[in-house]
Amino acid sequence: MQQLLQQIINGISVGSIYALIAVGYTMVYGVLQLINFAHGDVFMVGAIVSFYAASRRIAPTMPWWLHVAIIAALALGFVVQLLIGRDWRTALRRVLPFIILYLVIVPGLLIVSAISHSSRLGSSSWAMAGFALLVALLACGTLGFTIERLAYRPLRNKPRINSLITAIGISLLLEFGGQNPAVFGPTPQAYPEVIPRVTEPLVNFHVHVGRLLNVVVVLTKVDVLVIGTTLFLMIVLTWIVLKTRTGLALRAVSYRFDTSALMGIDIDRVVSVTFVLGSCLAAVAGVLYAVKYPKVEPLMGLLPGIKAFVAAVFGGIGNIAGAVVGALILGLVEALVVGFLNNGSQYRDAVAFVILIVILLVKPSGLLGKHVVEKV
Amino acid sequence: MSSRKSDTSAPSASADDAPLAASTTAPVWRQSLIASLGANLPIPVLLLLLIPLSRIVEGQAFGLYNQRIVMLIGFNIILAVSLQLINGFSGQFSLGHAGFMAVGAYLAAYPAISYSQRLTDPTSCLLFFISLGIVFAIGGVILLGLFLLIRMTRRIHSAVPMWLLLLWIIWIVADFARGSLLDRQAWPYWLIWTRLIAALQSMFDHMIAAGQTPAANFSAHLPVFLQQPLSYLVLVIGGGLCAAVVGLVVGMPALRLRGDYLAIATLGLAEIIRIVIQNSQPLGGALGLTGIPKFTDFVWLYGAVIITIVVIWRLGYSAKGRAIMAVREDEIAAAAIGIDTTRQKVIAFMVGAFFGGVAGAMFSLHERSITPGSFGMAKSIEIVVMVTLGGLGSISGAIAAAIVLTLLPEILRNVGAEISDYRMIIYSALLVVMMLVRPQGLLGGRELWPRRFFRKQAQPRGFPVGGVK
Amino acid sequence: MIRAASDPSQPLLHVVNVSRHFGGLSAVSDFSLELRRGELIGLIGPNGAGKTTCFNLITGVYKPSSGEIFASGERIDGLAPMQINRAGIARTFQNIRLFQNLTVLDNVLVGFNRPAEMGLFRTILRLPGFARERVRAEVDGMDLLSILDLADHANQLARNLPYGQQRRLEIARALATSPRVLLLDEPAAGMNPNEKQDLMELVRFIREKFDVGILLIEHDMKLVMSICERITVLDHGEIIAVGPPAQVRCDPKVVEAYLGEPV
Repeated sequence: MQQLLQQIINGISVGSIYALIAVGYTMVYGVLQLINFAHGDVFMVGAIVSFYAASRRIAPTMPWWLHVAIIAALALGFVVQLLIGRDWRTALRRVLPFIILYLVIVPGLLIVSAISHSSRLGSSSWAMAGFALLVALLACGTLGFTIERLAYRPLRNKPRINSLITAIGISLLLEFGGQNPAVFGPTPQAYPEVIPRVTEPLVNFHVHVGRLLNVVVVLTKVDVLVIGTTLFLMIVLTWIVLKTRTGLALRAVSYRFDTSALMGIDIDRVVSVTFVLGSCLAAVAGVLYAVKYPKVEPLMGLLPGIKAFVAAVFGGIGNIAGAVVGALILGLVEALVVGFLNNGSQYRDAVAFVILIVILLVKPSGLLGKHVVEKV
Repeated sequence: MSSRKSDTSAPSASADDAPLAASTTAPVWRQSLIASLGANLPIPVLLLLLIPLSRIVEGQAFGLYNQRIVMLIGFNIILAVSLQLINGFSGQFSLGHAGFMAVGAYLAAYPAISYSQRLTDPTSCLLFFISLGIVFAIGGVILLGLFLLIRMTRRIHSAVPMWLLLLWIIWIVADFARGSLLDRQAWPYWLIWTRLIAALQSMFDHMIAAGQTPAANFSAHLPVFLQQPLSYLVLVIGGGLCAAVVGLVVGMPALRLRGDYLAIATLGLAEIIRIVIQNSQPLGGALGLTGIPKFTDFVWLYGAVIITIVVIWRLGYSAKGRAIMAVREDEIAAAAIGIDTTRQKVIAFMVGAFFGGVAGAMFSLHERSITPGSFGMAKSIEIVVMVTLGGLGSISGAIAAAIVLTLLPEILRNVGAEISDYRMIIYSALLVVMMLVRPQGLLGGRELWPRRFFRKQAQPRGFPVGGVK
Repeated sequence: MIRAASDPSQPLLHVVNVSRHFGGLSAVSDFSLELRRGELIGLIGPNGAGKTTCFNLITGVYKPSSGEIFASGERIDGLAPMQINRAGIARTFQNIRLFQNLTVLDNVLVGFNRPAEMGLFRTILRLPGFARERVRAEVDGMDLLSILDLADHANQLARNLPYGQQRRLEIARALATSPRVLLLDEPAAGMNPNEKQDLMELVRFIREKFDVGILLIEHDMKLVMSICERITVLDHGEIIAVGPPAQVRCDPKVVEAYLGEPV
């Protein structure tokens, strides 16, 4: 019984992390009808970037070849825009966000690097944790924005399968790019203990129900942190979606893509905001995950990503509440399988796929989703 | 209903004669026979041509390294062409081809190691596949029957089957959890699934035990020169058929899903297959199987390549293929002109899976040892890249891409680049750039050579109607 | 030609009190229709009246909530679209649904869908008879194309055809399934008056030549009036008038539906 309660807590904790990722999947799907396969890898990038920040390994400058590559890419983009017949103003406007981004990143990197090396942060402190999180947020937000701009926007009016293939391509690019020794390398590295004594118990619940039940359940610091953060972010997200103008635009776009453009909503902006929001949530998830399981590697986004996707489908893709519910259920089921099945930990990863296939077969619209009929 | 339709030509019954008969005087049956032979004779000739070629490839001068690359290209061609049928022709985007390959590889390697000493015992291999088939048929019928029963409850309310199914799964999981913890004697009565599996397992063991001696005796009476090739054929075809059956089981339900969902589902299924193999003791777990006899050589492999290409070409560019492509283009319109859409999809899926399994079986009988890691997502993606790059719906494109993408890393390695670090990066970047720049692939549904090479364009008989605008 | 003779006393298509609602919305209610051999019936009504929904109900895209549909006496409601087509009902679509990336000829050949040509082993092994079947099918297909004046474009991709020819190709594809009943969903949509006139000639010709009953959805009243023997008028999913053109034209309910309430 004690094991059951313990597993439930663990399940909720893992489920919360999945929820943070799943919300990103579901928001993007809601707006673009696109399964953003690279989302799990944005999560991975969040974890790895925060790892570099926390272990004070952020270089103040980029290597020279990266500068050359970026400038070349910008120039190439500009020339291509001119070649396909745009006048130079429009072409410049297309490339401008990336030029600004580049101009911000260069001094930004200097500042970030300087901060990370300052001794006032301490190596194992809340300040360090907050700093690492901030860097991860910036990196993932930029990454999400860039991916959408470069890879998905040009394909928006093409068959959906093209975007899916592109998404898979981006995902692989990030994974294998990360495995390259010049970037991170294939071997996992230990995540520093940014928050002191994070895996130690915070609270010991003494569950006592008559004679029936008399057990102690442990709630660790990291579990409280994970569940608390998720809860807080979900409240913030709900506020954004329901109360702000951007949220209103987001809901309108996900309801009717074309019509909302006619209503004067800047669709491109909404899509960008969606990607940035989703990527930031993934970044938080990445940092939390790395704190909970202190190990990072380029493939770490693969399984959590797929599981979060399963959770989003399970809850009804396109539905934010559904994604959270689906993620929590998935986390629980997984924890129970691990806890109660003989060598269940080997089957942990199969659980998500089984759920996915069953839900797709029985109710493809998910728990809270709506059934869409093709018009003839 | 359909028989009525079969012999009526649409425009008019009055014109019922064979247009062929008009040109010559030979009887229709003889012409048909000649056409059939004319189409089929080049294949054995091509196969025979492989033998002198193999002298070159397997000769000293060619080198082991080059020989290995040639073999690798062969496997990749089979995989790419068979996936082309699924992804390109039927438009059902599958991301799990390595899963079928794994099924073929393991189910050929296992009997090769366990029942057939040095591949000399084809009958025992056959016995293995037959027993496996019977056992799975029994289990399948039970599961399917229960599933259909559960599905029938949707008459009560549309949500009922989902919850029943969920309960069922929980039951199975709980069942296995208890079953694995307790002794056989202590099993409580509700452990039906554990019992079922144990029963099927012992049934399988009994069938093998009962049949093995007679089977081995029978094999001993076969001519010696036939023993090895026959065993090999049984293993390869058996592996392929198993993959096809998995394709059917997976395909029947999965093919109801829409494009991108299907892609994810196939990916998931391939992963499940891999995880199951990884956790299966008899199949060697994560360490894989070793000591598999090596038999696949250049002639066998390229024979299979030729047969794969011929079969898929013929299937793709025929009435059947047209129906398959029609379903890809517009499912609703296809159903509206009387095409059984599910059937077309399942057939494409099964044939593709079959050749995937064949490639896997040949692969395992070439490598001597296999691990589940060789059939992971990276392999699936590699094949998808080949198919996409070559152009969806183009067989020659898939072949070309398979050759180029196998050679490219090797060439780059010889140039001196540390390519192993960059190979997959290049693949994925290629995929993205391709989708952005030329989403239809290099050949974009066309073939390198014309589809009708020997046949003339049909002409209308000239209806006596004068024509209406 | 067409099919084994069916009971001539039975109408080719008989729809009896069919209704369909989506949630609380009643798209079609109590729709009835009888189409006999060689007849050409028009189905008209304002936008959103439920005409296309009727087609979808007849061809099995939607299942009727209540009511019965018979094809030559055979009950077909509730069957899959594929089975309904095999029972002799073919249709075209309002928004053209050709197989865009197949050639014009292939679009028609798909419609033949002959079992003799489709056997898996026959196809793979090129058994005797396969080539003959194939040539026969291609010649039949070319015949059909030449009737619809598309033979010159046989090897083009369907998506490269101009709009009017795409519409004709859809009709050709439907005819390839050798139907007894042909449902045409706004075949003249987007055509200029001359093209429309030609198309109506064609419809009339097809009815004679292929001995089919035709049910036609069309917006252009004049056109429908000129070629249909009978007309059924739908509004808000209900039949408001049935009868010969002259009678329907004068029906006050029809006038009201088209022109709005009299002030």
